[in-house]
Amino acid sequence: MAEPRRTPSALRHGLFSRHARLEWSPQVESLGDALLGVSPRQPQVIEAAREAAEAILWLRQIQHWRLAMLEHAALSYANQTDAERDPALRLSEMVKGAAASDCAPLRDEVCAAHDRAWLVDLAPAGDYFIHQKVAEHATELRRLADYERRANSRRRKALRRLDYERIEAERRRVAAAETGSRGAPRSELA
Amino acid sequence: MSTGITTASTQAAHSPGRLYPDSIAFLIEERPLLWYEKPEDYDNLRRGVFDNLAPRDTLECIFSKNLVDCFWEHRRMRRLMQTAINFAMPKAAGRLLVPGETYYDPRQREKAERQAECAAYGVEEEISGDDPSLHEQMEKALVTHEAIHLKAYESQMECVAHIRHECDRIENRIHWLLKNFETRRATMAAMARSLVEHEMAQTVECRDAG
Repeated sequence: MAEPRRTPSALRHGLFSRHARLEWSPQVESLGDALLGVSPRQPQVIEAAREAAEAILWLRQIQHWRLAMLEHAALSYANQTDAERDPALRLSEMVKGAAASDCAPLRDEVCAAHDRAWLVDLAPAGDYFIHQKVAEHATELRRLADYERRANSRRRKALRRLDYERIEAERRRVAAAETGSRGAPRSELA
Repeated sequence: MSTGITTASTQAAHSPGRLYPDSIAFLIEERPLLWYEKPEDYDNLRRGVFDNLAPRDTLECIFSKNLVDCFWEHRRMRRLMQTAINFAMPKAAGRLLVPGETYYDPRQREKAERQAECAAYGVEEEISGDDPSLHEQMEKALVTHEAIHLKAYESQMECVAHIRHECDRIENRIHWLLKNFETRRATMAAMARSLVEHEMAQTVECRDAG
């Protein structure tokens, strides 16, 4: 597959590494297969599905970056001590995938380690530290928003192409079937 | 290719409660949460959206998940804006109760700020002592709650403007996703209709020929 145009710019801004493409491959394959569904397995359709899968994953990656930026803003301000930072980092990993019940004990641990008496709940504390950083990170956040807009546009185009290739494949299949069915009676007559 | 279907019963408690292919479970089950956000809240939102939209294929599942993320992000941004104003309130109260840019009593202003901060947490009595309460000071200085709110809003204009911009962006995405959902469903319905019509025409043709 040709190297997409976004890569040089994303590399320059430190948002993308060449390793990421390798890491994505299994996910691209798996998502591409899911997008194909019951469509005919023709090379053009498979290629379009793969491209759509990559566009979807690219968009997801940008959303990860934005989240990481906000998280960094909250963690760098809120957690001055290791006692608080370590469980917060572990909780950060956990809330993204583990069952909600597994997060509860770690959440309690972070609350207990939170040494600012005036900030009782974690949520307003975290939001407070993020809001202090929002204006500071405005340029980066805006840049990410631009990237996201482009990634959205790329996904839209990729999905449109997938739809087009699917219809074309179906058309080719019907045309081939019709040619076959027209040919059959002639052979029978003969 | 994995075409297995994961059901809500076989998944952990955080599954959306709908059917989706195993191959996209890594996308659907991922939560874009900050460390202090509650997973159960996100799961409830996801379940609600999936129940309402009832996605029929992989792409609809992905769009539904995007919608959930957008709703969550929008909620987060609104909360951030609220927090920005709430935390600016004590400073705003201090500036209104002890006015002045260059010549003012810093200790007096600090005390007013601290009182406003404690009033926000409902513990003002603990620090006021013999000093007049925040309410009394506000009455004396003819300062209303609205004035404090406005001053806080004014001091956070840059932050609020940025958050508003983010909210607009997310709202646009929500509209686009919902519109796309409708268009895809309408196209699928049209395709199904034409398929049925085609099948019916072929049946009639076969019957006539027979």
